[in-house]
Amino acid sequence: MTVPTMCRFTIDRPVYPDQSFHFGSAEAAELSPLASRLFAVEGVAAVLITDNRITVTKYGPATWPEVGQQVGAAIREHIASGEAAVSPEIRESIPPVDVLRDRIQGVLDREINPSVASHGGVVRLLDVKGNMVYVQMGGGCQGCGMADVTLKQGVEVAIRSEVPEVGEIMDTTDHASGNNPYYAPSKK
Amino acid sequence: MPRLLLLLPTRTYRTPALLAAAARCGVELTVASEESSSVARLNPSGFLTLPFSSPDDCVAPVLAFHQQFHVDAVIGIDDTVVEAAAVVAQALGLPHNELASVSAARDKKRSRELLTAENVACPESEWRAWDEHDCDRSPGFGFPAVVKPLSLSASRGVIRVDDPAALAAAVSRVGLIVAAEEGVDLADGFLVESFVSGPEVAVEGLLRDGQLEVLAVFDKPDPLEGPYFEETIYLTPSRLGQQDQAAVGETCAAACRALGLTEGAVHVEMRVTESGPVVIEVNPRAIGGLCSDVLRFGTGLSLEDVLLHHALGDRAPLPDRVDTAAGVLMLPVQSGGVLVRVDGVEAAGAVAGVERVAITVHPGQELTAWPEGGAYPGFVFARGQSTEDVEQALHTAGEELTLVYETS
Repeated sequence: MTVPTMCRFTIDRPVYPDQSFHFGSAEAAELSPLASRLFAVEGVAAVLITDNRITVTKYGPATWPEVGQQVGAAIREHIASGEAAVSPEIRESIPPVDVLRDRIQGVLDREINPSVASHGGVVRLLDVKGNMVYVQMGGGCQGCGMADVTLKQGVEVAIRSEVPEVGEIMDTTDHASGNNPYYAPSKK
Repeated sequence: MPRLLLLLPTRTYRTPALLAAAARCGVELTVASEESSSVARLNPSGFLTLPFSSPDDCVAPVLAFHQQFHVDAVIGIDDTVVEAAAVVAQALGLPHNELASVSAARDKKRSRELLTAENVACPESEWRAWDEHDCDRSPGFGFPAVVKPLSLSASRGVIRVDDPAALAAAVSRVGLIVAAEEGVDLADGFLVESFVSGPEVAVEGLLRDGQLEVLAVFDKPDPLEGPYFEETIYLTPSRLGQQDQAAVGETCAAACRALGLTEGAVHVEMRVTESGPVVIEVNPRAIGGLCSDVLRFGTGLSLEDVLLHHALGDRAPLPDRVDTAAGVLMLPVQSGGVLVRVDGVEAAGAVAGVERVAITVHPGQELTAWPEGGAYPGFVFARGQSTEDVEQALHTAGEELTLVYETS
């Protein structure tokens, strides 16, 4: 079996300031000159463009040293071209921040918080910048040994399912300060 | 994308590291735990609930899930899930350890029998039943000795004794610990075994098709002489000479063969004596707690990255461990009690060489000292030019940290 892997490339300038967009296929990347260049590299299976970071998922036998060189060359070629990383059409497809915020809050109110409340938890929407989402976990979720699972497997999936335009979802919780975690880590 | 089934007990320390590694792999992830997630209904392919304590009962739900969401790999790297991982992987036709081998490794009596039968050096031991009227009799091999329950981990309930009176007291005390533990069968009895002196090391290894690859050898520079065996510092690379390290690796491989372990992570505890390495225990799992954070491989891969790649069938040559001296201090519980706060975290983090101080307990939590306890309140990680620098940094940081408990 070939194992997919991700590699993050950090660039010395933002290519998609304060926004984030995930391209799961070459077809989906047609409106992104940067992502299209990256999908031309053999083995690239997905591209996430966020501010000055590009996360590339590789799937195939080629090694990262080989693929990485080609990805680096594609990024440099894109920057030299002066083109936008993501076309205006994609930018315009992302709703205004207020609309995103309302829709995400709706998912939290309807789907997520009634569920996590059963473990004494709560997930709060702190901010939306561009299409990047900042959440905070409280109550039984704060410091819980399974908080990451709840966030990545539950909260993120539910938000992306109803609001697919969101970019990265970041947990800003100070888990070390949680004083009533539902599951306190303790086992090897 | 392949789907990885991650067997994750709800109280593990390892969730963030494993999820981060899974995200880096870009796999579809299903998390199986012993209790249902509060958000399971939001992502039916993302969650499973499995009775880890009854491994055979995990098979039917996994096969039913597999019909709907094809599972390509299974991994379970904590003590409480390794048996379930073995039977589930077998049922799915994936590379796996035999259940009997994993169970034997977790059972200290069976493990001693198998090691002895294959001439792998391990402590002399005598098995005792709790209801024997003279179960605290002196062992034939004399003192010092160690009283050891069969299936507790993290050195819980392990006590060194130097004379018959101490043995009698230790047997009573360990009996109470075992009796209070959920899911432990009192018919398992306990071991009285010879105390092996000499520096202790821990080996982190990966078994691939029966071949052991040593990923790291850790020194434990603070003497573990008892009476209790709470861990303190792990340092790598080991300061042992090349010959001793080679002997440690060979003995580990022999121990794995004796137990029949063939796949996945192993964490082996050994003492290095004048007559060679002696196996204290072989755990069919990765290093515990947050300690895996010490290790970096290749261009910065974590131990969890390496283990996930293995579970996903990657058999490319393993990357070398990053050649920096590194170590971890497991914070002592000190007196134990109801925690009010931990003082000195900022000062400990500011010690030169210290990379991170992770406090894993919360105010109000009741902490119990060894041998009754088995959870560390936190971990300090350091890196440096030499293991001596790292050891010094960890000691200095440890001295800065104080656990403040409620006074009665």
